[in-house]
Amino acid sequence: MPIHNAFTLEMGVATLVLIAAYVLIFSEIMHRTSAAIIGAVTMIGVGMAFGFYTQEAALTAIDANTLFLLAGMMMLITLLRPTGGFEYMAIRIAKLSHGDPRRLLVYLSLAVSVISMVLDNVTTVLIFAPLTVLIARLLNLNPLPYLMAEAMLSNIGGTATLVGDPPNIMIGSAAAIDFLQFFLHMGPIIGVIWVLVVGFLLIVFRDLLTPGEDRDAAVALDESRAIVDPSGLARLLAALAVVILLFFIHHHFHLYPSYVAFIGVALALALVRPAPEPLFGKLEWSVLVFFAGLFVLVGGVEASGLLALIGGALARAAENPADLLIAALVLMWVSAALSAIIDNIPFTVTMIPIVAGLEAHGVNITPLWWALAIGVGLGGNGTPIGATANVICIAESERARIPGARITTAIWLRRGLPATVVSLLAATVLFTVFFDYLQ
Amino acid sequence: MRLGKLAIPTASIRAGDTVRTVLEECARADVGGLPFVDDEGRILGRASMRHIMREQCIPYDAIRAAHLIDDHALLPMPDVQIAALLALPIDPLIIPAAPTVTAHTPVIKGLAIMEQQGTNYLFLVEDGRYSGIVTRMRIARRILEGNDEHL
Repeated sequence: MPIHNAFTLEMGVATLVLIAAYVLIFSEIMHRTSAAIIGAVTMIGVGMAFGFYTQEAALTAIDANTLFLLAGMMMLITLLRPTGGFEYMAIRIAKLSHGDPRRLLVYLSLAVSVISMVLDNVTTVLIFAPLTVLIARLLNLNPLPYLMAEAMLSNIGGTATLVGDPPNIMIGSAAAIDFLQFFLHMGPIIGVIWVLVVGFLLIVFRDLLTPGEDRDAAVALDESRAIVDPSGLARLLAALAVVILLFFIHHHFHLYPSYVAFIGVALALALVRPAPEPLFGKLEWSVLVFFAGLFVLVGGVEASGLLALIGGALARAAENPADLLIAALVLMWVSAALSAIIDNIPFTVTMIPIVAGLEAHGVNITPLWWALAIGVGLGGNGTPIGATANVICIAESERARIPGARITTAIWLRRGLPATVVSLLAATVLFTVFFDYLQ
Repeated sequence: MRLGKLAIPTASIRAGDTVRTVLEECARADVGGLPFVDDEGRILGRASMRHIMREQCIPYDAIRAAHLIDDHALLPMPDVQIAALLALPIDPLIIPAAPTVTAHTPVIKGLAIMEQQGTNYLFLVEDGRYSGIVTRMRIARRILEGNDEHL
């Protein structure tokens, strides 16, 4: 890749294509995957015409580890979902609360957080949210605080692990951070933030978290009817357990996380032998193609030399170790602010080569990876549209048609945004205190 | 056999009619839905009993987890008052899709369309106007009559 000290025509062309593609993606004029494909094809064509990008370079820009890790985990969750295991867990957890509204919020939040650490949080809330409304209905409770908590805590839980959130998968893959290393650095920070956010929600929703008038109300759901395929569930859980175990030790065996995910998939396929159509037909191909398109797009900008130029400019702000903490915190807050209003995937894909490029300028980029992961992970909680889980839970609150249960934008900004600021302030303090550990 | 022989005449629904009108006519004619027509009698959509009940009576979350609910559960339904439900205008509850056939459509094709569209009834149209409804139950009764005619 050429190193330029000034802005060139090629950089301008690549930037224009990227901006045009991102306008299409963020404005939702068309489906984001369609926009990414059009942008990627244009970037390659323009890159070849101006001589800064090739088809070979575009193929190399696609991070196969990220795509296969995502695909593998999608396949596992696609197999797990119809077994009824998630519903069983949700009902059991709800019953453990014995109808206590506050305990119910803590338990449900904990469940979605833990599941979201390993599996896709969108699927988690898709299953938990309607059941939560029904449970709240049975207990004569307003489901609003529970739905908000599930959205926010699933996002927070996903931030803790390498596989919990797509941006983390990309960051881990680009920075060669293994699962255990990711968990040991992010887990404690996210653990503290989890407690603070749950505590915050318990306080701000205290009026809605009082026991219902009907003292006889109970979680009258029969979890024994939830599991439709006990044998399949047991086999899939065994495959998932192998995957989780291997995630913690994959670096010792030099195994890519994507390969680990596919070991689990292969095991699951051998044990369950599912019909192909229900499995492959339900995979979110559009998400995978969207990611590939973004990789090609940003690869073109990188090939033009623009990201190296930006990296060089940013390096001057971060090359002094004393300024590195400030640079990391700025990155965290900017990432969070942008992730609250735009899709955090394109932002992460764009930022990764910029951060990676700083290393060539002698900057210790390790804390910047953590800052980026925290920012894009927590920022989505700031607005109703900041994360897909938020949108799902809001839609569920509207469908419930329970008076006072609808999560409006105003409610989210009054309750969710302050909770996000609290989480980011806590992250800032923890990041500062444990900065040496994070380097 | 052609569907024209199996049509059940019913009233059609127009803008401004209420849920009560729909339910009364459906109950009278023993059909699951009625055509929603314009002033010229052209079908614009349909009023479906199943759709009305799903939208107005059953919580969405209860549908998803229906098999898990205890029979003794104290499940408060949405705040549905029958009088208010019956007085609702039908217009917002109209489904735009309305499968239509003609009097000459073979029964087998009619059954195939029912399968394809996931419905139990079809609207018969003559010269662009609604003329009756054919239901799966009506076809079943005709089969039970043991007529020598081929389906």
